[in-house]
Amino acid sequence: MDKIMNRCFRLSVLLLLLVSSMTVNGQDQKVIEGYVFAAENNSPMEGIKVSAKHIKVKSASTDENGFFKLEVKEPGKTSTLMLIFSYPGYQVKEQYGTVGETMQVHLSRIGDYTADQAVYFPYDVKKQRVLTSAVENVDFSNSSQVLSSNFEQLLDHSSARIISASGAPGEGNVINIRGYSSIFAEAKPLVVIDGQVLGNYRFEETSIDGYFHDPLINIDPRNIEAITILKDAPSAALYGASASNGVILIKTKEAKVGKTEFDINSHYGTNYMNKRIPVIKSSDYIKPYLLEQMYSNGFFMFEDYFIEDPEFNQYYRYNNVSDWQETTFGMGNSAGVNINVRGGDAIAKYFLSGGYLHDEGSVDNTHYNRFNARFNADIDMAEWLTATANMGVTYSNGKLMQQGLSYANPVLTSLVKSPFLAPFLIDSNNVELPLTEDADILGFSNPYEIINSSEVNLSAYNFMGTINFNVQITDHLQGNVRGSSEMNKLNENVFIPNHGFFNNDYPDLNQVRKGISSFSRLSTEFNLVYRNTFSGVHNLSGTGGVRTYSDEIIQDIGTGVGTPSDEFKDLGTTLDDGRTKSGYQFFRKGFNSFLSASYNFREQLFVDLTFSADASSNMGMEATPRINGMPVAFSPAIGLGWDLSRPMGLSYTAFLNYFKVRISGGQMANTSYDPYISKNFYLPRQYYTATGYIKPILENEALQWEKTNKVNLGSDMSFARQKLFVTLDVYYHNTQDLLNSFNKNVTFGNEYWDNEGQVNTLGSELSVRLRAYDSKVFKWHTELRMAQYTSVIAGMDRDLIYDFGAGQKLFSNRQPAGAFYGYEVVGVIASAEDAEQLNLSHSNGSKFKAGDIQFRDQDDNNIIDDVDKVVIGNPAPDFFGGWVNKITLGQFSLVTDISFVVGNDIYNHTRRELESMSGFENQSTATLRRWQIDGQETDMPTAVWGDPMGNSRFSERWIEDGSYIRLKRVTLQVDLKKWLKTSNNSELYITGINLLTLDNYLGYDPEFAYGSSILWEGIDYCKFPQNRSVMVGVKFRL
Amino acid sequence: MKMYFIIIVGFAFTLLSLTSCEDWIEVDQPDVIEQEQAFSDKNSTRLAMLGLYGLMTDLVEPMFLAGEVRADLVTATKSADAYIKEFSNNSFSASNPYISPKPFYTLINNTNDFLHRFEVMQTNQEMDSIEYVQYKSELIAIRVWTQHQIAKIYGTCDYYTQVLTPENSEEVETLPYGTELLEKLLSDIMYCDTTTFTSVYDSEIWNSVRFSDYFVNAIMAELYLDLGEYDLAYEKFEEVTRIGDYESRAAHRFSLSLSLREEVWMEELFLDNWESSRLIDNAIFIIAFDNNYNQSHELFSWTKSLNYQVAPATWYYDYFNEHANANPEKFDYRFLSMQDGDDNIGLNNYYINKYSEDDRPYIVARTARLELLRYYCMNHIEDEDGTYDAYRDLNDIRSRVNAPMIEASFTMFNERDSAMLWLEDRIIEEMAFETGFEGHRWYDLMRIAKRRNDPAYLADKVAQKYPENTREEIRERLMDPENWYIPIFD
Repeated sequence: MDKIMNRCFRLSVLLLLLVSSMTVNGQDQKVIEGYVFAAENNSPMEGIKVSAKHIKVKSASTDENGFFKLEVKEPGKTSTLMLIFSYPGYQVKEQYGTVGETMQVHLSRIGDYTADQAVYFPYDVKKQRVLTSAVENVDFSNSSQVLSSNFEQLLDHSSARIISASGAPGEGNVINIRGYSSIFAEAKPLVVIDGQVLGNYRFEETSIDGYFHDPLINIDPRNIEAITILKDAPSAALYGASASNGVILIKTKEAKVGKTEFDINSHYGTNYMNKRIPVIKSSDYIKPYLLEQMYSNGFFMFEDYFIEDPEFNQYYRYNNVSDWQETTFGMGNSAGVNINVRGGDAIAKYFLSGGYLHDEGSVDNTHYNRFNARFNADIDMAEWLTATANMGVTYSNGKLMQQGLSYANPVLTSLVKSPFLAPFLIDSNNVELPLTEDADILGFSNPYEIINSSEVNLSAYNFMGTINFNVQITDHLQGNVRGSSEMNKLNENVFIPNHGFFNNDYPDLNQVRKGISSFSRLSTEFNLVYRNTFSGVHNLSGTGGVRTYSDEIIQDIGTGVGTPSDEFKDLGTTLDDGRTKSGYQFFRKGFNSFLSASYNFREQLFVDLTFSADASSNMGMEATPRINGMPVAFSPAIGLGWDLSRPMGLSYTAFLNYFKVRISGGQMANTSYDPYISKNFYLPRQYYTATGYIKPILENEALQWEKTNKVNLGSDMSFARQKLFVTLDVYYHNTQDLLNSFNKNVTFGNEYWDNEGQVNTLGSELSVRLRAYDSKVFKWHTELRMAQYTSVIAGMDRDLIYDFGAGQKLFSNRQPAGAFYGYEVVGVIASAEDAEQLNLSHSNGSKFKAGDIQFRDQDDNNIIDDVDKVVIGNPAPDFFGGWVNKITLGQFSLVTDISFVVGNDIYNHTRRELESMSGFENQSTATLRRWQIDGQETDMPTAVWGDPMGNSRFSERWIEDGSYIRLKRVTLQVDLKKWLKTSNNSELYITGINLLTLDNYLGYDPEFAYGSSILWEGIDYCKFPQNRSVMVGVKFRL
Repeated sequence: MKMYFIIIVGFAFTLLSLTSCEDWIEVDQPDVIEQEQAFSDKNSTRLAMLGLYGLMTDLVEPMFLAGEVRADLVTATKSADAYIKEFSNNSFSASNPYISPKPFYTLINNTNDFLHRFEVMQTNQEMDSIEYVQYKSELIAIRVWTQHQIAKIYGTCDYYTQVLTPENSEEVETLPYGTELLEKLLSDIMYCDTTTFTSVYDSEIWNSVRFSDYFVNAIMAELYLDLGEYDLAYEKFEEVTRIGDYESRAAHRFSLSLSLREEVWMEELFLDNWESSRLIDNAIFIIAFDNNYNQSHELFSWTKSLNYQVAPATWYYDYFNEHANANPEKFDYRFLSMQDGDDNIGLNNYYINKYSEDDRPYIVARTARLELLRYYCMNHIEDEDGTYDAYRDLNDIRSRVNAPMIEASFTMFNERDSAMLWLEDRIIEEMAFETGFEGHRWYDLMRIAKRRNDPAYLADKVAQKYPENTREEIRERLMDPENWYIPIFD
């Protein structure tokens, strides 16, 4: 094939030469000539097709020296024009050439990171070279075998921060771009898939305790062709006020003309979790501890537990060494298959994909099944009219468990359950009976029963579909009409039996909970896209249009307790007492009009202007500015770029090959927040047998949306014959008019929302991509990404202290945003003498004694109270990033993917449960060094029932360093092309996920997430730890 | 073809842009009631106001804790919640959920909002003026009552009568619990003095709301009392309990003044089916609850459930037993207010028996208490025989519950000043016996301590419920009137 091609090219070169020699004497004839080389080794390339971009020329081809000569018949307007160089397997190169000059052109292979890389951009595919914005083309080519159930893991290969919510199968991720610019408004980035702006609505609470709902898990990573992240103002402002936290643009695989292609991708593997928290396992330790607890409260119960006589008929029942963590964790299988078909002709093209995934978690008896289908089609209905349809449907169901602080959370219960108890009844002859134990009298469920008989089921339906009609109005002007629909429906079914469970609120009753959550969005878009080049060097493009969206959000949850027996699992048979219901329904509507223009001169000087105006139903009608009485949020932005390569005389052979500087700035509005907080409305309030109305919120129709001023300074550089590509960005975000719900004074007995305070974020991002070694047989590519930011609060009249239940977060001027706020710990008071000397007392008057924690008395008044709280930790990392290596040797390649987070603090609530020493919970082995005798020097306080002195209060004790380095993925893949004697991609691979983590964290896993807001950052409420997995898989193309 | 397409799309686009964007973004949320719907017609307006009484249900626990648990008759049991213990110990931490004045201000904000809406409706002639006056009176009375409660509990009150905005909230005055505030409240409530409410209450639900001119008079009477205007207060109390007009209107509603029937007193508080009991006739104002609608308060679980958290103070229980009528033939109904309880709960093996269900109404004002306050005024008015008359009436009311007669010699009333003090002690004692545990004790003690200008009066009384080793400390703290109020943490 290649040979034939080469011959053709040679022939055409000959012909070209012949033709050119015939017209060489023509008056307007100009010639551009030059040499084309392969960028990876600077060797001349033969047979490269050369043509011109904006005028019609007869294309040329290079000879064996890479030489080409292009003749241009142009009525002499300019002597400079853009040439296009293309060759299979290489990135299309566009470069300006001038008559009389001898061009040096270097072509890069597809996949090598260069300034010529095509970046999928709204309404266009642009070269990296022409962008003025902080825009990131996510290169996940090295992770195409990612076995994650959701696409968000692909973003690991970007400067965005991706946090996996937990190890429970089917749970999603939190994506954060450039820190948190808001406290109460939306902090998630906007997601746009195939031009469809997703609502991406996340239900904060479902019927399932601790479950993190992430609608993006419905997007199958195997259907994705490209992802672009828009990080700064001029790029994101195209999407207006929903885009202030950045935009993730996803392009699913395109329909393609040509031979029908079948791709089959299948994997099989195992999930497990082998980290264990050291809890007390021996009765010798736990029983004296329980006695100590009881004596400290002056009572003695549960005598049977403490009878040490084997003749006692319950002896064997209460003298076991159970490792409850082993009961909880096990091995899970994971299997998936995905089939893609694409093909079509000049009129209609299609991409069809179907996939199935079965993923079992490392917590026994949990799994997630997903069936998904995608259909993309392009139909050329007329020369001027193209229709594009992109549709994805997903059905999933999962068997989960309760997470968080639930009595049916197996992970938490397996830690606090006493080890001398057993999952099954044991008779007086030490024979295990086939009957499970009920909850124990200490107040804990039987983890075996949680694993085997709790029913926490979730099924979800998701649809996203968009149809776009593209009209070529003139050569330079296109119009688009788009209609889209998005639906996301969750059905939650929870049944917690009575036998084996300890329900503190309703003792001896089982529990039923049902929930339905539904989000739907209809959206439209009209736009015009203009592109033109004047005089060959003035490139102008622009877009303008209007989008509308209309959302409906509904959630209904019903809970009941006490069905007649554990056989009945419906709400209907629950008791009248204890039934609760909750639910809400609301609409959101909005529109966004946008206008953007990009201009560049000779691809050297770049100017981008973007302007967008938004109005939405969330806004208070008295907010300013207003147009015709309607509030409108503006997002103006500008970006400037200068490619200095030419003025600085940079060339391929110089150390520095390419150098561009960018500066951008603008203001982004954020109008995504609770639709009620500015509104004048009433809620029903029942009084006795009738219902009246009350006003829950004092309306503030003048409530402003948040505005983030963004500045970005960036540079793209390429070094050492394009082997090294470096991108550096420094940014500053200043968010004003923070939505704030705290009350100015008590008089505002009602909730009242106002604008007060700012968040200032200064950050930087660096990415370095290096082709360290690059030969035919051996290749080593490496990529390092690092990002860093600090967010500081300013302009608040009063501190905002956010209470998250177990502790507090502080938002105060000059303090890091969302810092943990609690008590500083000096140590444990060793002796009565020390205690007397310190003379510290609790706010209720009791004195701190020997064995109690010495909290720092910041105001030296000898009373430990609210005034002594200080910042005790910052959940934001100092820096984070990833390091990817790909080593290829012949058909084999090894990809390692390491991610790291450094300097973040975590509140470890699990450990607080295990080291509070105030109840009957089994405790961690660290509590064996607890203070017991006067004068004992230790860091672990004394055990006291009920913790009257608050030794376990929210303090430095529970704040830990959450830094980690994690081998996220390691993949060994074998290219089967050679052996199968095919030109199609076929691979066999083995992948390990999370195999190695280096950290000092005392909980299960330093990576977890509860929500996308800063209010949740760094709070670990005993989520399921991440799985470790080993998978084998194959990829075939037929 | 192409042209058609472009024209159609262009046309659609133009249509879209012509449609008012403002209408597009004005969303009618299904979960809430917009202002227009809330007050769309007579019935819904009337109904809307019921929400305010719903908000009052949030005040029951704080009022009980502040008015009763802080005072001398009640202490926290050993098993009590830490926050309840704080009330019993008169020392508070910021995290105590029951000390926030916010629910009171929420109610005030809502009444101000309703007042504002009704004023607009009245101006737009959407509401007739008789209705308007009735509604306005009711709202003002609720607000004045709430502001008075705030002042009594916190010692200061943010006084405002307008819908709050960030701008005008800066001008809100924080007034101490004193003459200026009380006079403002009185002048506000004067608006209601001539309003007749009765015609409004033609529907069933109003039996539970009980808002009436009696309550307005009761509020006014207590305001006068706080100002030391005993004559005016006396008149107002008398209007509630005695004046003939009322008798004809509310046949036997105030049976206390007609015939001091013994069973009535008992029914007032202890019968379960309170709606059909005479309570409804004796209660001037109640806050109602109904379990069937998931409405309940904590007072039952705090006072009478298996592990009750507050109980009568030991000194008081002993004192009561010593002074109540022990004659088995004539049962002293006041004995019903305390019952023998569980020994395990701690020191107090008897419990408060005034909240027998978790949806029993909370009595804000009832005739017995107003009657006793009337004696209190009578004792202090300029009339020479005032003290003696009060003494006589006090015995009268005591006899209806089979309480023994308080003995006194006629000659002692010749020395009015000493007689006044003596009788004041008897009245406050009877208020404890009759209306104890109903949420007023602290203010009654405070009133006398202020009148006598003797902080020790309150401090001594409250201190006696503590164990001996902490008594002095508490007493010292309460000697400073600043500490009579619950601190406001913001």
